[in-house]
Formats: sequence, structure tokens, C-alpha cells
Amino acid sequence: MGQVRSLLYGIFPRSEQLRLTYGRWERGSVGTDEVKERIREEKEKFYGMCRNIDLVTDPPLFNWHDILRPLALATDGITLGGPLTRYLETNTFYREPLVSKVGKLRFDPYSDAEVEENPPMPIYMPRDSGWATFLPSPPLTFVKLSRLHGISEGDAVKGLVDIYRQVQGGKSGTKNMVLFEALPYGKDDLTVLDPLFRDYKVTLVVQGRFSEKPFQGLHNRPDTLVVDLSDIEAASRVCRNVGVKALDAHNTRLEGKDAMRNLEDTASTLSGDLYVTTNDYLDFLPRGIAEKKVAIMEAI
Amino acid sequence: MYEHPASRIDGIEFYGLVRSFDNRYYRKGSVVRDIRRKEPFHIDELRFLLDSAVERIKMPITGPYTMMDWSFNEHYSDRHSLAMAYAEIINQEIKEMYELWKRSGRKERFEVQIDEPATTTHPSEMDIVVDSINRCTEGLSGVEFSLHVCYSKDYRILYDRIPEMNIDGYNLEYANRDPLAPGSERLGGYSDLKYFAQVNETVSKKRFVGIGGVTDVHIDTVEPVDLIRKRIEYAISVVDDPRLVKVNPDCGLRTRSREVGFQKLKNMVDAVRALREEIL
Repeated sequence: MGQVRSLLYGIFPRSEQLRLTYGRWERGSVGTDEVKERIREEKEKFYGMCRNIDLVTDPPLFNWHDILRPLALATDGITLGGPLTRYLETNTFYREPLVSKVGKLRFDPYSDAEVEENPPMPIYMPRDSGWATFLPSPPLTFVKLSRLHGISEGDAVKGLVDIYRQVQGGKSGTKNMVLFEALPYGKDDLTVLDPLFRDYKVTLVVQGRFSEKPFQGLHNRPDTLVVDLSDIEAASRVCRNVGVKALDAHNTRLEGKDAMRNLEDTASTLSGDLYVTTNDYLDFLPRGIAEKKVAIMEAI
Repeated sequence: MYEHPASRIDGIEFYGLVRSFDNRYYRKGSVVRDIRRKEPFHIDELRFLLDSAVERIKMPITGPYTMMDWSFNEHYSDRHSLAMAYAEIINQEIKEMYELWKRSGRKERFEVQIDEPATTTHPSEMDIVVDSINRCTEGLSGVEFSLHVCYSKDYRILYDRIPEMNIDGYNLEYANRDPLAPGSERLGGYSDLKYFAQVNETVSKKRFVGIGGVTDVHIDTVEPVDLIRKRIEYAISVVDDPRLVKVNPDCGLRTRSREVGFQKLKNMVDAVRALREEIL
């Protein structure tokens, strides 16, 4: 029987103060150092807030405008030349990456790079322990949400997997990786992810109705699969640890404590651990509500 | 465009800002009980315009589907019910504006643009779009309605529903999807206007299309007059009737500086004037 654990992943909403600082930075009225200092303060607060969460992706990605941009800016052969595009079925938008090749990393993702009009990096800010990198999964999220020009989908995916290995193998100091899939797998071939599953402790967040098929024939499996509540049993046949999307990142209604308690019963039926998490990253919510959802997760 | 009406509706709570893109945010409300209008949204604005020297007036109003999609729904049983509740309120607002218009003695037709940027966000919900838009326009046969949609992944799902919607024309975003680079004059971003023209052929009452889109509102680059003109000429060639082509920016210019916004509009107007002189 496993334990109930908690996972917080992806972009967390900016505080009002950070949002205003970014606005001033964009207008040129404050410098890069002030933005960095504000992020450092915000990060401290954030760690304090989620100190009881078991696994947190490099928090809190405050300097990510969207889930594709930092890696698009960091990779040779990818530009942000595409149109402003609606992100899935939401009211948020991203500048579509144009992929002509997938070369090498243009800069160290852990360094203070300044690129184009983007707020200052680093892309990741590692902690000593208990953290994971957050990466938009190559096959669907990155490639299907980008525009390819002169490169096949397969080559783009392979290239991105290499980039992800460079990211993870740099100064991260962690084996933990959260791969986020924004679109449901259909008949997509996941074998390209096999090396990542082999070398790292991957938590794979999938969308839609879960199917075991794409995982058949893989030599390695992710460490944890995050699925809807109704798919826990199927996911547990593929992966020892399962994550459940118990909190809604698209609604301000707060989940009741009873629902959270029921998850303990679910965990008792599993051989591995049960990670409680959200159905999307929390950037779709007002900051105050996102903080309350984190508190609910912490109370588990 | 969202918060202005939402803050005048009872039943909506605001918990804070959410991101729209980059570092742009809006205050997204949560519907926590039955909604009802507390006060008018645009009556003061219309009264001001009627009292001014403005000759032609078109009143924009945020549409029911967008109001629903941009709200957190903590109360209504489903998204259709919430959209229809918004539609009821918007219909009431437009009726009051129309009464004011009639009392002003203006001779021209009252124009209302229903802003529905969210329209095609969820392709499976086009029935909700059609039902709620038609509820908004009920009992208002004397008004000219246009529908503004932007940042759609696929306008064809909107065009397919043209015959069912009580809408006279569409103001759309296209410039954003059309490359600006030299050598990209094929105007690929505008190609699905062909489908609009095909659907329009099938209806007896022809709809106009605002090719939106002669200026991209999310970049500071000011499109040259010549490029805008080429885009308009292309739209006219596809729609095959200049009377059915209108010209507008992709969306509101709020995200640009005043200087950039003004220059974009100026170039758009210059392009229209130059073409009009040639055509007429």
C-alpha cells in the first residue's frame, strides 16, 4: 500500500507586485536587477507557502510567459515568429514557436540570460532537493503547438528530447522531471520518450481519457503517471505511482476536505504512491485562489 | 470589455487577476449565484455620443458566450444556461440603447457590434454560441448587428453557422495570421475568406465581412499602407463584392501605445481612402 503525496507543477500565478514590476520593466522604468530581486523575494515566499508539498517543479516559473517560450528562446533553430495563438480551449494566448531545426541550447538555462523582449531568465532556479524541472512534453505539447518549417515532426521531437537531456544534465542536480502533456495522446508513438523514462524520474501528466496502448512496447516507464480520477486503475497497470487530478485549476470553487479524504481510501488500493495534484497548472486562477488550492493540497 | 459589464452584474464575485498573455491580465469574475443587471453598461456612453458631433456610431457590447467563457462558473448547472442568462441581460441592454437611439431622431440604422472573441474557442459549443447570440438579438429587427471574433483557430466552424445566426456581418482578425516579411505577399493568412465567400453564396441575405485584420494589434510594427491595401484588394477579389467588405483592425488597440495605435489606424484609413477613390 502506498502513501498519499502531493505534487505542484507548472506556472504559478504572479503576485500583483511582481506583475507590476514586470510591467515597469517592459516600459523601461525599472532595470533587470530589480526584476531579479523581486523574483528572489517571490520565490522565498513561494517556498514558504508550499513547504509541505512533496514535489514542486522549479518554482514557480514566475518568469515564464507561457509554457513554450523559455525553451523556444533557448534553442537554436526555434524562434517566436509565429502568430499570437489561443492556447488550447482557454482565454490565454502564446506566441507560436517556429521550428526550422532543433539545434543546441543557445544559453545555459540556469544562467541569467536576457533574450529578446522576454523578462530575464534563468529558465530554472534549482533547489537543493524536492524539486523537479517542468518541461512541455515534446511529442504533442511542444511540437503540435508549434509551426514546423523544413523539419519533420519526428526530427523535431527527437531534437527536443536531446535538448531536454541537456537541460536535465546541466546544473539541475535533480533527476526529477515533470513532463506536461497539454493534448491527449491518440495513436502517438511514445517510444521517443523511452530514454527520458530510463534516465530520469519522470512524472508524466497526460490529458483526456487514459489509454495503456501508447505505453505498450516501451522498455521503460515513467515513475508517475498523472491522470483523471476515473483512470487511476488503468494507469496503475502501466506505472507504479499514480497521480490524480483532484483539484481544478480552471475553477475558483474550492475543493472540499471530504473529497481529499476519500483519496486516502483510493491510495490504499494501490501498490505505489498516490500523488494528489491539479488538472492543469495554476496560472489560470487568481493568485489568492491558487494559494488556497495549495493549502488544500498541503492539508492532505 | 469583460470587467466593465461584469462589474455591473449582480451575482459575480471578483477574486483577482488572471493572465491573458505575457504580462497582460484581466479580472476574471466568478458567477456565484443567479445573475441580473445592476445598472446599464453603455447607456451613458451612447448618450454622450448622441449629444456629440459624432456622425456614425456603432456600439460595441461584449457577447454572451464570451462573458460566459471568461467567467468561472460556480453556480449554473451548465455552460449553456449561463450563456443564456448573460444573453438575457445583453438583450435588455441593447433594447434600452435602441430606445435611446430612436428617441434621438437619428435616421440611420443603429449599429451594434457584439464582441465575441471566445466564439470558436470550444468547437463543440457552437450551438451555445448560436442560441445565445440569437437570444441577444431577439425583438431588435431594426438594428444592424455585426459579430467580432478574433484569434480563432478555425473560422470555418463559425462560417458554417452563418445561416443560423441573426447577424448582418462579421468583423474578424486576420492580420495576426498573415506574415509581414518581404516576399510573403501571398496573403496566406486571409485564405479562409474563400470559405466565407462559399457559405455566403448559399444564403439569400448576404453578410458583410470586416477583414479584420488589416493591422495586427499585438505587434508595434506599423503595417505599411501598401500592404494593407493589398490585403483589402485580396478580400474584395475573394468576396467578389466591395460592398460586402469592411475594414477594421484585428481587435482593440489597447495593448499598444497611443502613438502606435494612432499610426496603425491612420495607415488603415489611408489605404481605404486610396482604394475607395479607385473603385468608386
